[in-house]
Amino acid sequence: MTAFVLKRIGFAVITLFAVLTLVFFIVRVLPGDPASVVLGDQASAATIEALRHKLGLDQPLIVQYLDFLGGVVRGDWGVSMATGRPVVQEVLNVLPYTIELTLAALVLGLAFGVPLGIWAAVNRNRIPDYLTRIVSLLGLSAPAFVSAVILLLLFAIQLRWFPVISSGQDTSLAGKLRDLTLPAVNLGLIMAAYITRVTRSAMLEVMSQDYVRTARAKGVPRNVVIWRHAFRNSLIPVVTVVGLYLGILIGNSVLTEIVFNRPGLGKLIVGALGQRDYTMLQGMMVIYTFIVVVINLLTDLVYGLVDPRVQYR
Amino acid sequence: MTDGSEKRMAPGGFAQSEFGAVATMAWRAVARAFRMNATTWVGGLALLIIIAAAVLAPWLAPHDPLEQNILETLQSPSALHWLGTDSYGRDTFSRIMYGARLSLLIGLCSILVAVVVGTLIGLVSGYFGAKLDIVIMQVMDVILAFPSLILGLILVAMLGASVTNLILAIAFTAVPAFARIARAPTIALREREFVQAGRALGYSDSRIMFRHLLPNIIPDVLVMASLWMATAVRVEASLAFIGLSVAPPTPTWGGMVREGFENILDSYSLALFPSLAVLILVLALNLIGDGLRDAIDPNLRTES
Amino acid sequence: MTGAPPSQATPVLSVEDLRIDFAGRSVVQDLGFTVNAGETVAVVGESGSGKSVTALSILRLLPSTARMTGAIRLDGRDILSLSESQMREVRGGQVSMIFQEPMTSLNPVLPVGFQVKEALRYHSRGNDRECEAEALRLFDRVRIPDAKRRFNQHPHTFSGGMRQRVMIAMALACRPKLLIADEPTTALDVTVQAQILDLLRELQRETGTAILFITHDMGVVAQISDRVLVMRNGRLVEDGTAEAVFAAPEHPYTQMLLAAVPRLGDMAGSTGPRRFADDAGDRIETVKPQRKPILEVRDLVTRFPVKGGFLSRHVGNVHAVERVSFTVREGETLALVGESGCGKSTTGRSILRLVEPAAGSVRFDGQDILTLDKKALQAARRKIQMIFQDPFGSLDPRQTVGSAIAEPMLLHGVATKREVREKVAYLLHRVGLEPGHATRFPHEFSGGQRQRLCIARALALQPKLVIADEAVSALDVSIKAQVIDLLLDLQDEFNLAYLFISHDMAVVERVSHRVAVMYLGEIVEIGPRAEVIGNPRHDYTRRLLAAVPVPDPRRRSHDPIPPGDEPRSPIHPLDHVAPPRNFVEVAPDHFVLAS
Repeated sequence: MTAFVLKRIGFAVITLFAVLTLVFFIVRVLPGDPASVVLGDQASAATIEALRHKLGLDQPLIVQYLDFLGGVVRGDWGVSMATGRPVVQEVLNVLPYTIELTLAALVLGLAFGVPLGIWAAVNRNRIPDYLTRIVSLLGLSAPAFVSAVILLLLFAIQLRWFPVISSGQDTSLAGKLRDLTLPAVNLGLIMAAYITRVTRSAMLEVMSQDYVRTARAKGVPRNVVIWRHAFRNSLIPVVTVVGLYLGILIGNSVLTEIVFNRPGLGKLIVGALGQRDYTMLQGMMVIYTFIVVVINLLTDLVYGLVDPRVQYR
Repeated sequence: MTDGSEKRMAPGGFAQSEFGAVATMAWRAVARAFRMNATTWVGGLALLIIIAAAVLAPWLAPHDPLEQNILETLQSPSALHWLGTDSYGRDTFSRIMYGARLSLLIGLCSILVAVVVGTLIGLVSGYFGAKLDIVIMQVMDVILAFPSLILGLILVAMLGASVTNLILAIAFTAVPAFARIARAPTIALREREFVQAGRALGYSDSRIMFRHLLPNIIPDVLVMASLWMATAVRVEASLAFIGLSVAPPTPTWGGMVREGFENILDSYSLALFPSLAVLILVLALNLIGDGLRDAIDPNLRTES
Repeated sequence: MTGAPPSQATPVLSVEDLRIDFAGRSVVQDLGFTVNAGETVAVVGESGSGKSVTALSILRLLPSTARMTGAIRLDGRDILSLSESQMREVRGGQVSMIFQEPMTSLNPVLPVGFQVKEALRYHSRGNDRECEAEALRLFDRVRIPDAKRRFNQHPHTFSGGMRQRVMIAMALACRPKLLIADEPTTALDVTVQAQILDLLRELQRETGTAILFITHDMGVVAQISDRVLVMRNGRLVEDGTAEAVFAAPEHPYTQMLLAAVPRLGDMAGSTGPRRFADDAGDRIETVKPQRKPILEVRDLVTRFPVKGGFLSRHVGNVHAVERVSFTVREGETLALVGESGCGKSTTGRSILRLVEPAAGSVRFDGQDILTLDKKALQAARRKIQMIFQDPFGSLDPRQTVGSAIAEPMLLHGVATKREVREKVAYLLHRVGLEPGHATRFPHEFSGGQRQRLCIARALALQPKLVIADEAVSALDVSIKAQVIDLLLDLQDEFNLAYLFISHDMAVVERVSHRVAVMYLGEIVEIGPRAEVIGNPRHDYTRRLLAAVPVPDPRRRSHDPIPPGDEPRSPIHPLDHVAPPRNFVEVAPDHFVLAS
């Protein structure tokens, strides 16, 4: 087991390095000079050249690359061109909000998605199944900003259960919860839709396996067949897919943060876009890469827990 | 089945062209999806209506989508403006009709690019396997793990927002999905005996890949294409909502929702209706994708 | 209960007038039979006979789309009228079942011991600790070595034979009155099959459980059953004692079935192959000793890398084929026999370089195939053709069969576009199909017909050598005999050489001139067929031959087979140097690996 964990961590570090390299070169290879993008069409050649020098863009590519990697390792991700504060500090300030939102949504998604998926699978082609399929398809068809706007219209403007624009300064638990509820529900519903679908299809697949027939043939009660024999096996694909969907969740959190005016990585990246804050954008790419790699690592580790065959490989 | 197969024979020989085989497979999966599922019809009908609205917008739209009217800003639905107006007094219904053009264009083109590039990568990578495969798929996995919205956002931000750049950026995020979906059956089929038999018969690698493997993976690719077109439409709308899309005043659904959201306390309709338009288009594409998936699922096939 | 004389008054199981329909299509009709206590009843039939559906119906494990009418009485109680919870008591308690696929029949995420214990727990056979102790005892009873340690391991660490032992332990846990075994040894190697049959017989003697044994293999039937039921197209066509059915089958179908079964030893006294159709006399020899060798394999080595450890380093090799040498002459059949993992299929594929060999030489028609470049290899493959085991997998499902047969001819320029239609028609006709079939797709054909199609496609290029990799193994008995006859006819007509790869000794005896026995990647014995089968010298050859079930109830083997496990693939570290091997010529042309 220890060897397995070490191996996965080693693999994650290599992946991280590879992706950072990829990100760096994609950004540099893309047509369009960052300096002229930042300064706009009207800027003079001299100002552009000055900015290029300031950003180190006039250095050879390999030097830029090593500087970039060194900076990432040292925790020096440059200084925001808009605020003048270190990028790392800006990111760390808002990271807890995004993590909080994502985890809340994940919990909601699992709490609703898994039971619904199982319910649909064991009632295949009956009313519960049709109902769940329609609702989940609706859930995963809605872009996060669409569902967010609809939630806002319904619960904040029509029913007035929540403030339309929260101050975000209320640090009491009740206040925090009030600020978190609508965004978390918005993301949680989408996540639940995805998880319901994958749980349903994984359960259907597993229920037709030989070992489920074996369990029935030895007289194990139906609910034990479903939970112990079928569900434990269906977790294996579900874990993989939930890992992938966490990525979608992070992407959707950007839209959710905008609609509900919540601090977080999403608002930071959109702000950086609006202000053409080049160093901040580069820092955002690094942090998202970190997040993606960590999610992959966690998925792998959980996978090792649910599938006994993995540890022996 | 037996009688129908007579007609498919090319006259004068047994050899169908690669394109013929691929088209036949695609067509059969689509026909089957519509035969099997009522929900596919719902999705197909909705998609048809949206396409018709987009194509016929210049003739059918009740108003000019760019015509401003300061006297009629942020109106609720009425007989004159069926879905109300925006903050410049432009007719929301007409703008939704025109907005469908951009959503469909970007969705369709980006998926076409992604299908061709991704399928080719998956086919080659899966067929030749070994180190090449490991490296390619590792890269694909990492791109796939990246949230497509954030990847698209960064790419468009770097490239600059234009229709071509939007198409390329969204296509880039979808390529790994098609590489994966083409690779999995390729690997499974590569070990199948008919491929071994083909090699034993002295067929070249490209012949086996394009003549024998490709038609067999087309149904899977087709399902993926309709599901990812839904994602592409969603990402395009999301980017427009963030503000990364073609410059105003060209109507985009996401941009309209953004505008409605900024005026949400004054008018619900401007935020709601374009939102529903996005939802309906994405849902329609997902319904078609689901129908196709059911149609090609071998487990379901034996059952029905 | 044990030791009591079997009561003839109430049978354990009595099936009356059973009819099973799936979506309006009837799969079993008018079925009636009984099974008495302590008795073993074999249900035999080819695919589509309804035998497995019948087995599942007794435990009511059929999908909900199945409709059953009639009566299935267990100790006089009709189980078709039981509630689902009463049925749960029956399953595993009074009737239990073993399935065909040991690799997929155990739950991969639960320890094997737990899965056996579970059967006891849900039939209230004591508390958790008592059940665990009993399950452990059962592990010993089915002779799983090192039972205590293996108890808590997961199924993937077990071999097929060991998994089937776990299944048996699970099935017998609650001392059921009836055990249903659905093809329990079909997926196993012949030596492991012999062990499992032995175990079942022994456990039956101890517990007095009645066994309903579903199988397609007449040899197994003869070895294990007291009574035989023959099914065909969902109906019972014959019901009698094993001795009577084998000695004097009444129904024409049973007679045909038995006639089509190759019996090991049938061919004693002849040297060449013989068609089933002319079982009366010997066949004319197709190979003359002076004929020149067409394929010469020398010191062929094929290895697959084993990855392991940190960062998946290359830590060892599977020595799938290790210094294999043999010769095939024009018009001759060399059979390559052995159990799964012995390297026989890899040898066949290495010759065509479908897998790349590591060393050795393969001379075919004067060229060394292993040194050819890509273009030359594709051309050389023309003259060597391959037929595979799975007739459902070896045709492109999206291609008409006419196109599949025409494609290689057009590609290699054997026929022009103008003549190809006629040639396809001729080939279809030659393998016993209609020329009109050319426009159909593979799924419209039965398994035997597809194998004929594969043969037609292989013949299209006028090969000199055909490598038949388990080419008849997946076919039903009667179809198998027909396809073998076809292969022998074609050999005669086109002077074909066959490399016939098979695990089935009786079939091998029927078709081959010479036999090579493979074990752990090496040839251990090679020689004329009559010599190797009639007078085996190597220990492994003897074990293999002894394990083959003979389709004759009077010739049951009574020697207990020592428990053991099936041989694994030989894995060696990177720096492994194989010890030198010497062959001894024990008789003219008959070589045995010196131990």
